Amino acid sequence: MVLSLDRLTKTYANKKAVDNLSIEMRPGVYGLVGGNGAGKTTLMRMISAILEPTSGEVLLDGKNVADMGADYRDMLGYLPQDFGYYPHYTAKDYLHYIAVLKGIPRREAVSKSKHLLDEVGLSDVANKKIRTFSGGMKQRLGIAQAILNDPQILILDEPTAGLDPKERVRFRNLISSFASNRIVLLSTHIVTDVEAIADRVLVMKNGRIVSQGSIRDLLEEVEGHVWEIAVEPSETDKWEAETTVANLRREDNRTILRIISEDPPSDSAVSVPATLEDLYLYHFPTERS
Amino acid sequence: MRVYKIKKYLRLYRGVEETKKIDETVFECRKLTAVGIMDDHRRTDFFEFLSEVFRMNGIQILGGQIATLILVCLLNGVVDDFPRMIPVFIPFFVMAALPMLYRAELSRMNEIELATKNSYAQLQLARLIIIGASDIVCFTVLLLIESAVLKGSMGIVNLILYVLVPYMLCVTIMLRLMRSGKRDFYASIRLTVLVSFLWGIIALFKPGLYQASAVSIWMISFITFAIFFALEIKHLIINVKEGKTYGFVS
Repeated sequence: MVLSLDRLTKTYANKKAVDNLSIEMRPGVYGLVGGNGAGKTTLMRMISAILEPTSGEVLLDGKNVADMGADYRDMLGYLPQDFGYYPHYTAKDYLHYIAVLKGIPRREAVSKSKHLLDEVGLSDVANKKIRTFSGGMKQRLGIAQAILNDPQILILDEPTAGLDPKERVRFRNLISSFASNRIVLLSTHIVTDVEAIADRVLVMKNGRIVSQGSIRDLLEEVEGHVWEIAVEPSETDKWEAETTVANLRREDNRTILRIISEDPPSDSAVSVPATLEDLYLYHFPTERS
Repeated sequence: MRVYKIKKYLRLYRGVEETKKIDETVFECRKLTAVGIMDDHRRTDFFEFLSEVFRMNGIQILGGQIATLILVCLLNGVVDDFPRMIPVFIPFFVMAALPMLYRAELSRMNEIELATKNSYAQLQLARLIIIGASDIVCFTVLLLIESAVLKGSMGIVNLILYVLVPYMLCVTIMLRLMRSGKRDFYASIRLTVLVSFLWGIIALFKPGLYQASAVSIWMISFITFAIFFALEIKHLIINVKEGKTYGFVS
Protein backbone atom coordinates (compact mmCIF):
# COMPACT_ATOMS: atom_id res chain seq x y z
CA MET A 1 0.00 0.00 0.00
CA VAL A 2 1.44 3.34 -1.08
CA LEU A 3 -0.21 6.67 -0.40
CA SER A 4 1.29 9.29 -2.68
CA LEU A 5 0.81 13.00 -2.69
CA ASP A 6 1.57 14.27 -6.15
CA ARG A 7 2.31 18.00 -6.45
CA LEU A 8 -0.49 18.74 -4.03
CA THR A 9 -1.40 22.41 -3.76
CA LYS A 10 -4.12 24.26 -1.93
CA THR A 11 -4.52 27.97 -2.34
CA TYR A 12 -6.77 30.22 -0.26
CA ALA A 13 -7.15 33.67 -1.81
CA ASN A 14 -3.50 34.63 -2.33
CA LYS A 15 -1.99 32.28 0.24
CA LYS A 16 -0.67 28.83 -0.61
CA ALA A 17 -1.54 26.71 2.42
CA VAL A 18 0.04 23.66 0.79
CA ASP A 19 2.56 24.30 -1.92
CA ASN A 20 3.35 21.70 -4.59
CA LEU A 21 3.91 18.98 -2.03
CA SER A 22 4.96 15.50 -3.13
CA ILE A 23 5.66 12.60 -0.79
CA GLU A 24 5.13 8.85 -0.67
CA MET A 25 3.93 7.08 2.42
CA ARG A 26 4.09 3.34 3.04
CA PRO A 27 2.85 1.48 6.12
CA GLY A 28 4.30 3.00 9.26
CA VAL A 29 3.75 5.87 11.64
CA TYR A 30 4.48 9.32 10.24
CA GLY A 31 4.79 12.29 12.53
CA LEU A 32 3.94 15.62 10.94
CA VAL A 33 5.45 18.54 12.79
CA GLY A 34 5.27 22.19 11.96
CA GLY A 35 4.42 25.55 13.40
CA ASN A 36 1.04 27.21 13.41
CA GLY A 37 -0.09 27.96 9.86
CA ALA A 38 2.42 25.55 8.33
CA GLY A 39 -0.40 23.84 6.39
CA LYS A 40 -0.67 20.62 8.40
CA THR A 41 -4.44 20.68 8.83
CA THR A 42 -5.06 21.60 5.19
CA LEU A 43 -2.79 18.74 4.12
CA MET A 44 -4.60 16.28 6.39
CA ARG A 45 -8.01 17.39 5.13
CA MET A 46 -6.91 16.84 1.54
CA ILE A 47 -5.55 13.37 2.39
CA SER A 48 -8.88 12.65 4.09
CA ALA A 49 -10.66 13.59 0.83
CA ILE A 50 -12.87 16.21 2.47
CA LEU A 51 -11.01 19.14 0.97
CA GLU A 52 -10.50 19.46 -2.75
CA PRO A 53 -6.93 20.32 -3.77
CA THR A 54 -6.44 23.38 -5.97
CA SER A 55 -4.09 21.19 -8.01
CA GLY A 56 -2.30 17.89 -7.67
CA GLU A 57 -3.60 14.53 -6.51
CA VAL A 58 -3.71 12.16 -3.59
CA LEU A 59 -3.14 8.64 -4.92
CA LEU A 60 -3.58 5.32 -3.22
CA ASP A 61 -1.68 2.61 -5.09
CA GLY A 62 -1.82 4.82 -8.15
CA LYS A 63 -5.58 5.53 -7.96
CA ASN A 64 -6.87 9.01 -7.31
CA VAL A 65 -8.67 8.91 -3.95
CA ALA A 66 -11.31 11.37 -5.21
CA ASP A 67 -12.29 8.75 -7.81
CA MET A 68 -12.21 5.94 -5.25
CA GLY A 69 -14.90 7.71 -3.21
CA ALA A 70 -16.53 5.44 -0.65
CA ASP A 71 -13.94 2.68 -1.15
CA TYR A 72 -11.23 5.07 -0.02
CA ARG A 73 -13.22 6.43 2.90
CA ASP A 74 -13.91 2.86 4.01
CA MET A 75 -10.15 2.48 4.48
CA LEU A 76 -9.83 5.79 6.24
CA GLY A 77 -9.95 6.86 9.87
CA TYR A 78 -9.85 10.58 10.55
CA LEU A 79 -9.67 12.64 13.69
CA PRO A 80 -9.91 16.37 12.95
CA GLN A 81 -8.13 18.93 15.08
CA ASP A 82 -11.27 20.78 16.06
CA PHE A 83 -14.32 18.61 16.21
CA GLY A 84 -17.67 18.73 17.93
CA TYR A 85 -20.03 16.06 19.19
CA TYR A 86 -23.72 15.60 19.82
CA PRO A 87 -23.94 16.54 23.49
CA HIS A 88 -27.08 14.52 24.24
CA TYR A 89 -25.45 11.32 22.96
CA THR A 90 -23.75 8.92 25.33
CA ALA A 91 -20.27 7.67 24.39
CA LYS A 92 -21.85 4.39 23.30
CA ASP A 93 -24.55 6.11 21.21
CA TYR A 94 -21.91 8.27 19.61
CA LEU A 95 -19.81 5.30 18.49
CA HIS A 96 -22.94 3.49 17.26
CA TYR A 97 -23.86 6.57 15.23
CA ILE A 98 -20.39 6.78 13.69
CA ALA A 99 -20.58 3.03 13.00
CA VAL A 100 -23.79 3.65 11.01
CA LEU A 101 -22.00 6.28 8.94
CA LYS A 102 -19.07 3.93 8.41
CA GLY A 103 -21.43 1.20 7.23
CA ILE A 104 -20.61 -1.20 10.04
CA PRO A 105 -23.46 -3.64 10.70
CA ARG A 106 -25.25 -3.13 14.02
CA ARG A 107 -24.14 -6.28 15.84
CA GLU A 108 -20.55 -5.73 14.88
CA ALA A 109 -20.79 -2.06 15.82
CA VAL A 110 -21.95 -2.95 19.31
CA SER A 111 -19.01 -5.28 19.97
CA LYS A 112 -16.47 -2.97 18.35
CA SER A 113 -17.71 0.04 20.29
CA LYS A 114 -17.46 -1.90 23.54
CA HIS A 115 -13.96 -3.05 22.72
CA LEU A 116 -12.77 0.42 21.73
CA LEU A 117 -14.32 2.16 24.72
CA ASP A 118 -12.34 -0.28 26.82
CA GLU A 119 -9.16 0.41 24.82
CA VAL A 120 -9.43 4.16 25.32
CA GLY A 121 -10.41 3.83 28.95
CA LEU A 122 -14.00 5.04 28.63
CA SER A 123 -15.88 1.81 29.36
CA ASP A 124 -16.89 3.08 32.81
CA VAL A 125 -18.58 6.13 31.30
CA ALA A 126 -19.98 4.44 28.19
CA ASN A 127 -23.54 5.35 29.16
CA LYS A 128 -22.83 8.91 30.24
CA LYS A 129 -23.70 11.91 28.09
CA ILE A 130 -20.75 13.37 26.21
CA ARG A 131 -21.55 16.85 27.52
CA THR A 132 -20.38 15.67 30.95
CA PHE A 133 -16.97 14.60 29.58
CA SER A 134 -13.68 16.43 30.13
CA GLY A 135 -11.63 17.59 27.13
CA GLY A 136 -9.34 14.58 27.42
CA MET A 137 -12.27 12.15 27.50
CA LYS A 138 -13.79 13.74 24.38
CA GLN A 139 -10.42 13.48 22.67
CA ARG A 140 -10.18 9.78 23.55
CA LEU A 141 -13.69 9.25 22.20
CA GLY A 142 -12.56 11.02 19.02
CA ILE A 143 -9.63 8.61 18.73
CA ALA A 144 -12.00 5.66 19.22
CA GLN A 145 -14.31 6.82 16.42
CA ALA A 146 -11.33 7.21 14.08
CA ILE A 147 -10.29 3.56 14.48
CA LEU A 148 -13.81 2.14 14.66
CA ASN A 149 -13.72 0.84 11.07
CA ASP A 150 -10.26 -0.69 11.50
CA PRO A 151 -8.81 1.75 8.93
CA GLN A 152 -5.79 1.07 6.75
CA ILE A 153 -5.03 4.78 6.69
CA LEU A 154 -5.34 6.71 9.91
CA ILE A 155 -5.10 10.50 9.90
CA LEU A 156 -4.91 12.14 13.32
CA ASP A 157 -4.72 15.90 13.60
CA GLU A 158 -3.33 16.88 17.01
CA PRO A 159 -4.59 13.69 18.66
CA THR A 160 -2.80 14.28 21.95
CA ALA A 161 -4.11 17.82 22.48
CA GLY A 162 -5.90 17.91 25.82
CA LEU A 163 -4.58 14.55 27.00
CA ASP A 164 -2.76 14.32 30.31
CA PRO A 165 0.62 12.49 30.41
CA LYS A 166 -0.95 9.18 31.41
CA GLU A 167 -3.53 9.40 28.64
CA ARG A 168 -0.78 10.28 26.16
CA VAL A 169 1.12 7.13 27.09
CA ARG A 170 -2.06 5.10 26.64
CA PHE A 171 -2.60 6.76 23.25
CA ARG A 172 0.96 6.01 22.13
CA ASN A 173 0.59 2.36 23.11
CA LEU A 174 -2.75 2.13 21.31
CA ILE A 175 -1.33 3.62 18.11
CA SER A 176 1.83 1.52 18.28
CA SER A 177 -0.18 -1.70 18.56
CA PHE A 178 -2.61 -0.53 15.88
CA ALA A 179 -0.06 0.67 13.34
CA SER A 180 1.31 -2.56 11.89
CA ASN A 181 0.73 -2.71 8.12
CA ARG A 182 -1.14 0.58 8.20
CA ILE A 183 -0.32 4.14 7.35
CA VAL A 184 -0.70 6.40 10.36
CA LEU A 185 -0.14 10.11 9.92
CA LEU A 186 -0.33 12.23 13.02
CA SER A 187 0.36 15.88 13.48
CA THR A 188 1.31 17.26 16.82
CA HIS A 189 3.07 20.08 18.54
CA ILE A 190 4.22 17.68 21.24
CA VAL A 191 7.54 16.52 19.85
CA THR A 192 7.99 13.82 22.50
CA ASP A 193 4.91 12.02 21.13
CA VAL A 194 6.45 11.92 17.68
CA GLU A 195 9.75 10.81 19.16
CA ALA A 196 8.02 7.95 20.97
CA ILE A 197 5.94 6.43 18.15
CA ALA A 198 6.81 7.82 14.72
CA ASP A 199 8.93 5.80 12.31
CA ARG A 200 9.41 8.81 10.09
CA VAL A 201 9.04 12.50 10.66
CA LEU A 202 7.85 15.11 8.17
CA VAL A 203 8.73 18.68 9.01
CA MET A 204 6.35 21.13 7.37
CA LYS A 205 6.90 24.83 6.91
CA ASN A 206 5.03 27.32 4.74
CA GLY A 207 3.10 24.57 2.99
CA ARG A 208 6.15 22.52 2.09
CA ILE A 209 7.96 19.55 3.60
CA VAL A 210 11.32 21.05 4.48
CA SER A 211 12.77 17.93 5.99
CA GLN A 212 11.81 14.28 6.26
CA GLY A 213 13.31 11.01 7.33
CA SER A 214 13.73 8.74 10.31
CA ILE A 215 14.33 10.42 13.64
CA ARG A 216 17.99 9.41 13.46
CA ASP A 217 18.36 10.94 9.97
CA LEU A 218 16.77 14.15 11.10
CA LEU A 219 18.83 14.40 14.22
CA GLU A 220 21.96 14.11 12.10
CA GLU A 221 20.72 17.17 10.24
CA VAL A 222 20.80 19.26 13.39
CA GLU A 223 23.86 17.59 14.94
CA GLY A 224 26.60 20.15 15.56
CA HIS A 225 24.09 22.98 15.86
CA VAL A 226 23.12 22.42 19.49
CA TRP A 227 25.26 24.04 22.15
CA GLU A 228 25.37 24.49 25.87
CA ILE A 229 26.90 27.45 27.58
CA ALA A 230 27.08 28.49 31.20
CA VAL A 231 26.18 32.15 31.79
CA GLU A 232 25.47 34.43 34.71
CA PRO A 233 21.71 34.43 35.60
CA SER A 234 21.56 38.13 34.83
CA GLU A 235 22.66 37.49 31.23
CA THR A 236 19.87 35.02 30.46
CA ASP A 237 17.47 37.57 29.00
CA LYS A 238 20.11 38.89 26.65
CA TRP A 239 20.88 35.40 25.32
CA GLU A 240 17.19 34.60 24.92
CA ALA A 241 16.68 37.76 22.90
CA GLU A 242 19.65 37.16 20.63
CA THR A 243 19.60 33.39 20.12
CA THR A 244 17.21 30.43 20.03
CA VAL A 245 17.31 29.05 23.55
CA ALA A 246 15.84 25.54 23.70
CA ASN A 247 16.18 25.13 27.41
CA LEU A 248 17.73 26.63 30.50
CA ARG A 249 18.55 25.12 33.85
CA ARG A 250 20.31 26.27 37.01
CA GLU A 251 23.53 24.60 38.05
CA ASP A 252 25.27 25.95 41.12
CA ASN A 253 25.08 29.69 40.69
CA ARG A 254 25.20 29.60 36.90
CA THR A 255 22.53 29.17 34.25
CA ILE A 256 23.11 26.53 31.60
CA LEU A 257 21.55 27.55 28.29
CA ARG A 258 20.84 25.11 25.49
CA ILE A 259 21.16 27.08 22.29
CA ILE A 260 20.32 26.17 18.69
CA SER A 261 22.78 27.88 16.41
CA GLU A 262 24.71 27.18 13.20
CA ASP A 263 27.90 28.47 14.81
CA PRO A 264 29.13 28.25 18.40
CA PRO A 265 27.42 31.10 20.25
CA SER A 266 30.54 31.72 22.31
CA ASP A 267 34.06 30.40 22.75
CA SER A 268 33.00 28.47 25.81
CA ALA A 269 30.05 26.77 24.09
CA VAL A 270 30.09 22.97 24.13
CA SER A 271 28.42 20.94 21.37
CA VAL A 272 25.81 18.50 22.76
CA PRO A 273 23.72 15.68 21.22
CA ALA A 274 20.54 16.93 19.54
CA THR A 275 16.98 15.91 20.31
CA LEU A 276 13.87 16.14 18.13
CA GLU A 277 12.82 19.19 20.11
CA ASP A 278 16.05 20.86 19.03
CA LEU A 279 15.25 19.94 15.43
CA TYR A 280 11.84 21.56 15.79
CA LEU A 281 13.36 24.75 17.12
CA TYR A 282 16.02 24.62 14.43
CA HIS A 283 13.27 24.82 11.80
CA PHE A 284 10.87 26.99 13.81
CA PRO A 285 13.12 29.24 15.89
CA THR A 286 10.29 31.56 16.92
CA GLU A 287 8.25 28.76 18.51
CA ARG A 288 8.89 26.74 21.60
CA SER A 289 7.54 23.22 21.56
CA MET B 1 -13.32 -23.46 19.45
CA ARG B 2 -15.90 -20.88 18.51
CA VAL B 3 -15.28 -17.20 19.24
CA TYR B 4 -18.30 -16.85 21.54
CA LYS B 5 -17.04 -19.77 23.64
CA ILE B 6 -13.58 -18.20 23.90
CA LYS B 7 -15.22 -14.94 24.94
CA LYS B 8 -17.35 -16.73 27.54
CA TYR B 9 -14.30 -18.42 29.08
CA LEU B 10 -12.39 -15.15 29.04
CA ARG B 11 -15.25 -13.46 30.87
CA LEU B 12 -15.36 -16.24 33.44
CA TYR B 13 -11.60 -16.08 34.05
CA ARG B 14 -10.88 -14.22 37.26
CA GLY B 15 -7.09 -14.64 37.43
CA VAL B 16 -7.24 -17.01 40.40
CA GLU B 17 -3.98 -18.74 39.53
CA GLU B 18 -2.21 -15.40 39.14
CA THR B 19 0.57 -16.78 37.08
CA LYS B 20 2.15 -14.36 34.69
CA LYS B 21 2.07 -16.80 31.79
CA ILE B 22 -1.69 -17.35 32.02
CA ASP B 23 -2.27 -13.61 32.17
CA GLU B 24 -0.15 -13.19 29.06
CA THR B 25 -2.11 -15.93 27.28
CA VAL B 26 -5.42 -14.37 28.28
CA PHE B 27 -4.18 -10.98 27.10
CA GLU B 28 -3.13 -12.43 23.75
CA CYS B 29 -6.47 -14.26 23.39
CA ARG B 30 -8.37 -11.08 24.13
CA LYS B 31 -6.35 -9.31 21.47
CA LEU B 32 -6.98 -12.14 19.02
CA THR B 33 -10.71 -12.19 19.57
CA ALA B 34 -10.78 -8.44 19.15
CA VAL B 35 -8.80 -8.78 15.93
CA GLY B 36 -11.24 -11.48 14.82
CA ILE B 37 -14.08 -9.01 15.23
CA MET B 38 -12.13 -6.33 13.41
CA ASP B 39 -11.40 -8.59 10.45
CA ASP B 40 -15.06 -8.86 9.51
CA HIS B 41 -15.42 -6.41 6.68
CA ARG B 42 -19.08 -6.58 5.76
CA ARG B 43 -20.67 -3.19 5.19
CA THR B 44 -24.31 -2.22 5.28
CA ASP B 45 -26.28 -1.66 2.08
CA PHE B 46 -28.45 1.41 1.54
CA PHE B 47 -31.63 -0.08 3.02
CA GLU B 48 -29.84 -1.23 6.18
CA PHE B 49 -28.31 2.23 6.35
CA LEU B 50 -31.72 3.85 5.87
CA SER B 51 -33.22 1.79 8.69
CA GLU B 52 -30.29 2.71 10.97
CA VAL B 53 -30.70 6.40 10.13
CA PHE B 54 -34.40 6.06 10.87
CA ARG B 55 -33.61 4.39 14.19
CA MET B 56 -31.19 7.17 15.16
CA ASN B 57 -32.85 10.25 13.66
CA GLY B 58 -36.43 9.13 13.01
CA ILE B 59 -38.03 10.35 16.23
CA GLN B 60 -36.59 13.85 15.90
CA ILE B 61 -37.64 14.08 12.24
CA LEU B 62 -41.18 12.79 12.83
CA GLY B 63 -41.50 14.88 15.99
CA GLY B 64 -40.61 18.07 14.11
CA GLN B 65 -43.00 17.35 11.26
CA ILE B 66 -45.92 16.35 13.51
CA ALA B 67 -45.39 19.43 15.71
CA THR B 68 -45.52 21.58 12.56
CA LEU B 69 -48.67 19.79 11.39
CA ILE B 70 -50.37 20.47 14.72
CA LEU B 71 -49.33 24.13 14.55
CA VAL B 72 -50.64 24.49 10.99
CA CYS B 73 -53.90 22.72 11.89
CA LEU B 74 -54.37 25.10 14.83
CA LEU B 75 -53.78 28.04 12.52
CA ASN B 76 -56.38 26.54 10.22
CA GLY B 77 -58.94 27.21 12.93
CA VAL B 78 -58.01 30.87 13.37
CA VAL B 79 -57.04 32.04 9.87
CA ASP B 80 -59.87 33.10 7.57
CA ASP B 81 -59.81 31.72 4.06
CA PHE B 82 -57.20 29.14 5.02
CA PRO B 83 -56.62 27.57 1.55
CA ARG B 84 -55.00 30.82 0.42
CA MET B 85 -52.65 30.60 3.38
CA ILE B 86 -51.59 26.95 2.85
CA PRO B 87 -48.54 27.91 0.71
CA VAL B 88 -47.50 30.38 3.42
CA PHE B 89 -47.35 27.63 6.03
CA ILE B 90 -45.84 24.83 3.92
CA PRO B 91 -42.24 26.18 4.20
CA PHE B 92 -42.59 25.62 7.97
CA PHE B 93 -42.40 21.88 7.32
CA VAL B 94 -39.08 22.37 5.54
CA MET B 95 -37.90 24.67 8.33
CA ALA B 96 -38.72 21.99 10.91
CA ALA B 97 -36.46 19.53 9.07
CA LEU B 98 -33.47 21.88 8.81
CA PRO B 99 -31.95 21.23 12.26
CA MET B 100 -31.70 17.55 11.34
CA LEU B 101 -30.32 18.18 7.86
CA TYR B 102 -27.71 20.60 9.22
CA ARG B 103 -27.02 18.94 12.55
CA ALA B 104 -23.43 18.01 11.62
CA GLU B 105 -22.60 21.64 10.81
CA LEU B 106 -24.36 22.92 13.90
CA SER B 107 -22.47 20.49 16.14
CA ARG B 108 -19.14 20.76 14.27
CA MET B 109 -19.32 17.08 13.38
CA ASN B 110 -19.16 17.67 9.63
CA GLU B 111 -15.47 16.87 9.15
CA ILE B 112 -15.86 13.52 10.89
CA GLU B 113 -19.08 12.70 9.02
CA LEU B 114 -17.66 13.71 5.63
CA ALA B 115 -14.74 11.32 6.06
CA THR B 116 -16.89 8.23 6.64
CA LYS B 117 -17.71 5.54 4.09
CA ASN B 118 -21.39 6.34 3.73
CA SER B 119 -21.10 9.63 2.00
CA TYR B 120 -22.76 12.78 3.22
CA ALA B 121 -24.95 12.55 0.13
CA GLN B 122 -26.16 9.14 1.24
CA LEU B 123 -26.88 10.40 4.74
CA GLN B 124 -28.83 13.37 3.42
CA LEU B 125 -30.72 11.18 0.94
CA ALA B 126 -31.71 8.83 3.76
CA ARG B 127 -32.89 11.76 5.89
CA LEU B 128 -34.78 13.29 2.96
CA ILE B 129 -36.56 9.98 2.36
CA ILE B 130 -37.67 9.91 6.01
CA ILE B 131 -38.66 13.60 5.92
CA GLY B 132 -40.48 13.11 2.59
CA ALA B 133 -42.36 10.06 3.87
CA SER B 134 -43.45 11.86 7.04
CA ASP B 135 -44.47 14.91 5.00
CA ILE B 136 -46.66 12.77 2.73
CA VAL B 137 -48.51 11.62 5.83
CA CYS B 138 -48.65 15.16 7.30
CA PHE B 139 -49.86 16.73 4.05
CA THR B 140 -52.49 14.00 3.61
CA VAL B 141 -53.81 14.73 7.11
CA LEU B 142 -53.76 18.46 6.42
CA LEU B 143 -55.61 18.07 3.14
CA LEU B 144 -58.18 15.71 4.66
CA ILE B 145 -58.88 18.21 7.43
CA GLU B 146 -59.07 21.07 4.97
CA SER B 147 -61.36 19.12 2.61
CA ALA B 148 -63.64 18.28 5.53
CA VAL B 149 -63.76 21.94 6.59
CA LEU B 150 -64.36 23.24 3.07
CA LYS B 151 -66.85 20.49 2.24
CA GLY B 152 -65.94 20.41 -1.43
CA SER B 153 -66.02 24.15 -2.19
CA MET B 154 -62.37 23.95 -3.33
CA GLY B 155 -61.08 21.22 -5.64
CA ILE B 156 -58.67 18.73 -4.10
CA VAL B 157 -56.28 19.25 -7.06
CA ASN B 158 -55.99 22.93 -6.14
CA LEU B 159 -55.28 22.07 -2.52
CA ILE B 160 -52.62 19.52 -3.49
CA LEU B 161 -50.94 22.10 -5.72
CA TYR B 162 -51.00 24.72 -2.91
CA VAL B 163 -49.02 22.23 -0.85
CA LEU B 164 -46.62 20.82 -3.41
CA VAL B 165 -45.58 23.93 -5.33
CA PRO B 166 -44.06 25.86 -2.38
CA TYR B 167 -42.73 22.64 -0.88
CA MET B 168 -40.79 21.69 -3.99
CA LEU B 169 -39.53 25.24 -4.45
CA CYS B 170 -38.16 25.28 -0.89
CA VAL B 171 -36.56 21.83 -1.05
CA THR B 172 -35.04 22.47 -4.49
CA ILE B 173 -33.31 25.69 -3.42
CA MET B 174 -32.18 24.11 -0.15
CA LEU B 175 -30.64 21.14 -1.97
CA ARG B 176 -28.96 23.52 -4.37
CA LEU B 177 -27.45 25.37 -1.42
CA MET B 178 -26.18 22.11 0.06
CA ARG B 179 -24.74 20.89 -3.22
CA SER B 180 -22.89 24.15 -3.80
CA GLY B 181 -20.80 23.39 -0.72
CA LYS B 182 -21.99 26.63 0.89
CA ARG B 183 -24.20 24.66 3.20
CA ASP B 184 -25.46 27.05 5.77
CA PHE B 185 -28.25 26.44 8.23
CA TYR B 186 -29.09 30.11 8.59
CA ALA B 187 -29.17 30.66 4.80
CA SER B 188 -31.71 27.85 4.55
CA ILE B 189 -33.79 29.33 7.38
CA ARG B 190 -33.78 32.68 5.56
CA LEU B 191 -34.79 30.90 2.38
CA THR B 192 -37.83 29.22 3.94
CA VAL B 193 -38.93 32.48 5.57
CA LEU B 194 -38.54 34.24 2.23
CA VAL B 195 -40.61 31.62 0.38
CA SER B 196 -43.29 31.82 3.08
CA PHE B 197 -43.27 35.64 2.84
CA LEU B 198 -43.46 35.49 -0.97
CA TRP B 199 -46.59 33.36 -0.82
CA GLY B 200 -48.03 35.67 1.81
CA ILE B 201 -47.64 38.57 -0.63
CA ILE B 202 -49.23 36.55 -3.43
CA ALA B 203 -52.14 35.54 -1.18
CA LEU B 204 -52.74 39.16 -0.20
CA PHE B 205 -52.26 40.93 -3.51
CA LYS B 206 -53.14 38.26 -6.07
CA PRO B 207 -56.26 36.59 -4.65
CA GLY B 208 -57.27 35.67 -8.18
CA LEU B 209 -54.53 33.06 -8.18
CA TYR B 210 -56.54 31.14 -5.60
CA GLN B 211 -59.66 30.85 -7.72
CA ALA B 212 -60.43 27.36 -8.91
CA SER B 213 -59.97 28.60 -12.48
CA ALA B 214 -56.32 29.50 -11.83
CA VAL B 215 -55.41 25.82 -11.52
CA SER B 216 -53.49 25.93 -14.83
CA ILE B 217 -51.03 28.51 -13.44
CA TRP B 218 -50.42 26.30 -10.43
CA MET B 219 -50.06 23.29 -12.70
CA ILE B 220 -47.41 25.05 -14.80
CA SER B 221 -45.57 26.09 -11.63
CA PHE B 222 -45.83 22.54 -10.35
CA ILE B 223 -44.34 21.07 -13.53
CA THR B 224 -41.54 23.67 -13.58
CA PHE B 225 -40.57 23.13 -9.93
CA ALA B 226 -40.98 19.37 -10.29
CA ILE B 227 -38.37 19.38 -13.07
CA PHE B 228 -35.86 21.33 -10.96
CA PHE B 229 -36.69 19.21 -7.93
CA ALA B 230 -36.12 16.01 -9.94
CA LEU B 231 -32.80 17.38 -11.23
CA GLU B 232 -31.62 18.11 -7.68
CA ILE B 233 -32.64 14.64 -6.52
CA LYS B 234 -30.84 13.21 -9.57
CA HIS B 235 -27.66 15.07 -8.56
CA LEU B 236 -28.01 13.71 -5.05
CA ILE B 237 -28.50 10.14 -6.26
CA ILE B 238 -25.51 10.43 -8.63
CA ASN B 239 -23.43 11.64 -5.68
CA VAL B 240 -24.61 8.65 -3.65
CA LYS B 241 -23.78 6.23 -6.46
CA GLU B 242 -20.33 7.73 -7.01
CA GLY B 243 -19.71 7.80 -3.27
CA LYS B 244 -19.03 11.52 -3.29
CA THR B 245 -19.07 13.57 -0.14
CA TYR B 246 -21.64 16.15 -1.35
CA GLY B 247 -19.57 19.24 -0.79
CA PHE B 248 -16.12 19.74 0.68
CA VAL B 249 -14.96 21.60 3.73
CA SER B 250 -13.39 24.76 2.39
